[in-house]
Amino acid sequence: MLRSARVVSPAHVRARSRAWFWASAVAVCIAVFALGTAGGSVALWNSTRVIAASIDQGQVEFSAGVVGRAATAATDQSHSADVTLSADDARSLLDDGAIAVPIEVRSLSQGSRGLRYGAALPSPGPDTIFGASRVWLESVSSPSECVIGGDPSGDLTTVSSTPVSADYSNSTIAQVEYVCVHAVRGPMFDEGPFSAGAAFSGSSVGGAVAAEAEDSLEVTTALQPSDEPPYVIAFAFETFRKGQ
Amino acid sequence: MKLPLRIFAAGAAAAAAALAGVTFASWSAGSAPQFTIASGSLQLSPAGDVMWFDASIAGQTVPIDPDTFLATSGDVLRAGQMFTTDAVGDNMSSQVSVDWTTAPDLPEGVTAEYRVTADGVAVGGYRPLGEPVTLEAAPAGTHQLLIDLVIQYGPDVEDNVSGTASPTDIGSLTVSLDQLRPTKDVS
Repeated sequence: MLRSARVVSPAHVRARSRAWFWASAVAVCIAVFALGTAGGSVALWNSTRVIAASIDQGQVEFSAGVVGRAATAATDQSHSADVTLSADDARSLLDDGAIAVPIEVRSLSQGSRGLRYGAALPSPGPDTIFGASRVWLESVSSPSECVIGGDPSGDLTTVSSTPVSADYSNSTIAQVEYVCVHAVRGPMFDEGPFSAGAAFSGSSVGGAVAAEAEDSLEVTTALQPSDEPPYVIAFAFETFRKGQ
Repeated sequence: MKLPLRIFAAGAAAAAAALAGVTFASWSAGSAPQFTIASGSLQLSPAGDVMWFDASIAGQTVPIDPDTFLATSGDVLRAGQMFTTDAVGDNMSSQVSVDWTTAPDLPEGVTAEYRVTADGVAVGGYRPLGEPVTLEAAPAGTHQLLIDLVIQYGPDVEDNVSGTASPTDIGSLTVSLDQLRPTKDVS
């Protein structure tokens, strides 16, 4: 079988070489450009380091409540917790003559801010059970120390404490303290001896008749515990830094 | 080696060199396009970890861990990160930029700013976190860079009584070292 021989001239060879040259040059251009711009090759042209951080804020907790009853917690809007003695407390005071009510105060302040609080008794009118009683506050170490007794002199209508120092803390455990509310019933405004008498005279057939009647009784008070206005003890707190 | 093979080999070598960390310097002028490939390197290395401090009390800096630290009103926190930049090679002047890939998210009352110090010289003053900065070009060689952040919790920062206060997020601060390509005419 005959095969035709292909004759290639030198000019043809040069032309083909030029074509190869340009094709290869373009290919290299594309390849290197791709290397420079592809995602994995950016590091060839720059170096990057990232710094990132997210810092949490310390939390503050404050609540107060009669032991065994629901407590009131402070909120973002109010830096206080009110404790209200109930009508039952007023009845006990009226019936028993004295009460001692333990209040639990819980405090937490994380970070570099301490927490201090104060409590103050209200000033009810004398025509109320609490208003007619001697009431005072006492800091105690446990509810069991809150017992009836004593009648200290002086003004003990406020207490204050600093349960959390301003040293840095990340503790999640609240500090617990107790405040005892003492109350001894005094004479009510309407309390005392009460007498009532009646006399009448008249006539009847056959002669005059006169009659007299008198009675006396000891009235304690007409105040009703159920009518007692709320007796609210305000526990207010603030946070502070060292030196404040 | 035949011409096509030589060109192919040159292209392969260029690709391999690029992968190995070689950088372009420039296009050179000439009657036909040619590549001038200059070897070099460009590195930005953190020198140690970011150091965080509680600097609330003047004259005292206490190391802290930002992952566990609990901030409050009145706190002043500082963070410092040293970098070493190294640009080696022909025409390897470089430029440092500080930018944010995600913007900082600061609660009300919290302010944050930073300053860049290059080779011991402060580059301007403190500027708000999130505001990018690009330093002047630096010649090839090794340079020291310090990023200094200051975060202040002002008096307007409320007590976090509800426990729902937003954390202070400085965002993603990105420090970049880029090669500066010399300007040349291409004819």
